[in-house]
Amino acid sequence: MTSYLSLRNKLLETRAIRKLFRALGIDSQQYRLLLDLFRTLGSRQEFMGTKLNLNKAVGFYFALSLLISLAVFARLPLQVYLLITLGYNMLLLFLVVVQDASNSLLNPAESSVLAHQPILGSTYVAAKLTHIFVLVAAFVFALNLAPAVAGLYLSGTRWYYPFSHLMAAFLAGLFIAFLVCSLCGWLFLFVAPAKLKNAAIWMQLIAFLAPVFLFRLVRFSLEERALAGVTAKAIGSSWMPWRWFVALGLLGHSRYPEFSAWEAGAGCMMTFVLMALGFRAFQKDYLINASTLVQGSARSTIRSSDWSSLGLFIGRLTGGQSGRGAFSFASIMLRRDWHFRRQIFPFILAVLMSLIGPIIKGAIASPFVQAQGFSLVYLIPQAFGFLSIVACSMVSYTAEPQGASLFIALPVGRLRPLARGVYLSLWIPIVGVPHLFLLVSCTWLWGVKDALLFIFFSLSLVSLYLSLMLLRIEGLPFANPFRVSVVSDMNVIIPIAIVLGAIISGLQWLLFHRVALVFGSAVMLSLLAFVTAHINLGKVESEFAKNLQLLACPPQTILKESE
Amino acid sequence: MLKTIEVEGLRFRYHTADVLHDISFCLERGQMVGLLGANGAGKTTTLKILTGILPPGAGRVRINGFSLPEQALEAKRIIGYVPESPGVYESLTALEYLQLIGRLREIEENRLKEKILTLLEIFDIEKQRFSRLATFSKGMRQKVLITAALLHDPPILLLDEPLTGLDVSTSLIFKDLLHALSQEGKTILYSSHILDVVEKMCNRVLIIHQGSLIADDTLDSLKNQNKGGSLEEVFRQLTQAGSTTPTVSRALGAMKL
Repeated sequence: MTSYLSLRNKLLETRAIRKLFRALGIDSQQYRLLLDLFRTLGSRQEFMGTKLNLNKAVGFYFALSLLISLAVFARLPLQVYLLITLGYNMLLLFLVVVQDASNSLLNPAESSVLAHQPILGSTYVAAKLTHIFVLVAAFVFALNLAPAVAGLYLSGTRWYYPFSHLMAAFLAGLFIAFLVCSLCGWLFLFVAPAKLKNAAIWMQLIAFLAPVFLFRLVRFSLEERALAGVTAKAIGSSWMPWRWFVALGLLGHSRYPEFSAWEAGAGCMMTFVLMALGFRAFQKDYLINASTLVQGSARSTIRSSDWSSLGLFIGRLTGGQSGRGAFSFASIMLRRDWHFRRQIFPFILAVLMSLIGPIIKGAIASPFVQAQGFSLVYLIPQAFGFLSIVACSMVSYTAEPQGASLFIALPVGRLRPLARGVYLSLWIPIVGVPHLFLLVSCTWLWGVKDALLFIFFSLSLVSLYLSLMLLRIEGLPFANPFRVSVVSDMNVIIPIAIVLGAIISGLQWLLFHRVALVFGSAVMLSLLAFVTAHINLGKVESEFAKNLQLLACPPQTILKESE
Repeated sequence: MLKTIEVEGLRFRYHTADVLHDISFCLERGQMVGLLGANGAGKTTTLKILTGILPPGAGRVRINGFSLPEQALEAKRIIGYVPESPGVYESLTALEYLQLIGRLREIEENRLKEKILTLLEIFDIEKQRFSRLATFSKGMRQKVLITAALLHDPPILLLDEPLTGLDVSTSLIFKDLLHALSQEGKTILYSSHILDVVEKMCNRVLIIHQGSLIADDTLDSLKNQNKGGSLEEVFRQLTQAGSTTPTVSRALGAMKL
């Protein structure tokens, strides 16, 4: 690390860099200080943006790239292999960078600390962008090292193929980083500061749809192979960025069929102009704009509807006013907490897409009509199970943990009503309301009997999932600063949950051969859900108690002098 | 006298709400001026605009001749600002935080170290300098923020409720320090809603009420004009707050509902 820092400092002292910085209005001393600051904050996990610990993330992506490298055994043409590996690289980076850039540039909480210091917006943005680009470089290397070396196995590759592959991948990575950051700039240009944070969520949602395009890309690539040589039409014209980088990776090898340098050049120019315009938004007044948006929210005044009879019922169900209070607090924060929303929205979108698409196509057959084979309906409880994993994992964290002080002064003797209130605030949107909608649509599709029985089964199963996931709640709702390890844990839990979900869906298919069996198991599941919830609420209660102690008396952390 | 802060026809809007309407005032070198107003009157917004954090909606703002927001960078170099909410990087230690601020302000390394240690010692948090700011109490964070504002020896100090959370002895030290700084020729704008403190420390007062500047005068003159004894009474008359007795009765009633 010391050698990296001294190399970086030497580079910053070169005449060319100093000249460039002067032209761009960047103060090199402050730039260096800010880079050090972002690195320190990242290592101490103050940034939400970097999410995973960098080393862990690099390891994870390297393991993923080993799998992708197996594509060489399919004996694909070189350009198809490059298209798959670089396309995958670009889409994955797009997902990562969108998250990181929106955290760094559209919600820079640190701007409130730095806004009154004499720092030019251009210096601050340059340091921010460098921080993002360093992450991108690390990810690109991890994602491409194995595919670049494995590419030598393909026929027609020369000894220097790994270098041309890596060069194309790095340029593609840089392109993605520039593209996403300039997109943030465009948001700055056209969206009012008060609405920027919401706009960032939408940008991330759109990015989440990117894998859909990945599937299309792979399909096209396979078609391309089948058509043996007819390539250009299937993967878009030379205006498309991924073709530029594939063409670069092919340098010194075979020529990319039907690649037009003129079209690619024009595409590059247009993109460059669009990016430059986006970056202009970050000039000079960026810190002022950023500090305005940190205080902003889409709606500054909100009148809540008065559901007093529901509140009364919730109060009775949870065992007191404190339960009602916890329920309304958590329900409101589930809708309004920026951090929670941006974590859960992509999953909600995925669940909706998996349900709405088949419904529109009329592909959802009743699970009781076995002649129609495996019905997509079996996946519904699992989809809501995923939501419960994410919601329970995220519910304790917020971008504004200072609000947790409200819990410290509470004279709460029993925490059980509080735990029940939080449980209900999750149960209603994840289990209750969706199943009400499903009941209506399933009745319309399959008739009352099938719909009622299926909804009873699904409701019981999802309730059981939620009861189990209560163990993921790690403290009072929306009371703790976001922990990086939550996302790293999710990266392990979600793949396991996908496998388990597939097994359970298969078992459901077997179960649904007999109506009596379905009814019996639904009763069993609902009882199990009740008992599990009862037991796990006790654990939630003790998590709340631990959290209260921690909030009242935070641990002392003493660090040695760095110099 | 040299004008250090000039504000003319300042207006500001947050979303759809008008926060400041047509505010004009002028501060000179060596003046210590109190900025008074109820919660939400617009004091913090005024200070944020003077600091260059927020852009003025309309009007002219000049700091030592530097026009805002065009010359915000130059203005920020000569301002020391203690914000109302103690926002800090919680994962940095007090020393790291202050070193960062000092280096951003280009203070020479040896001088910076000496300044930090001396000020932390004066504010009695020298021993905690290696502790993360996340573990600091409100008052300790305030001490760090005050130290950060004083590090570069700024000619203009903008203080937003600087005594919040401070212990008695530190408050006394800080108040005396402000007097000394004012005598040295520094301009100090001291925002607070605690009238007693402003009355004791400042000889001139600006009162903002619902976004408008309703008074700008010396304490004595304000007292004479409003036939009031204390600043509290002057404030009450100017803001037409009236007697607090009926409000107190209503509050008591509400508590016993």
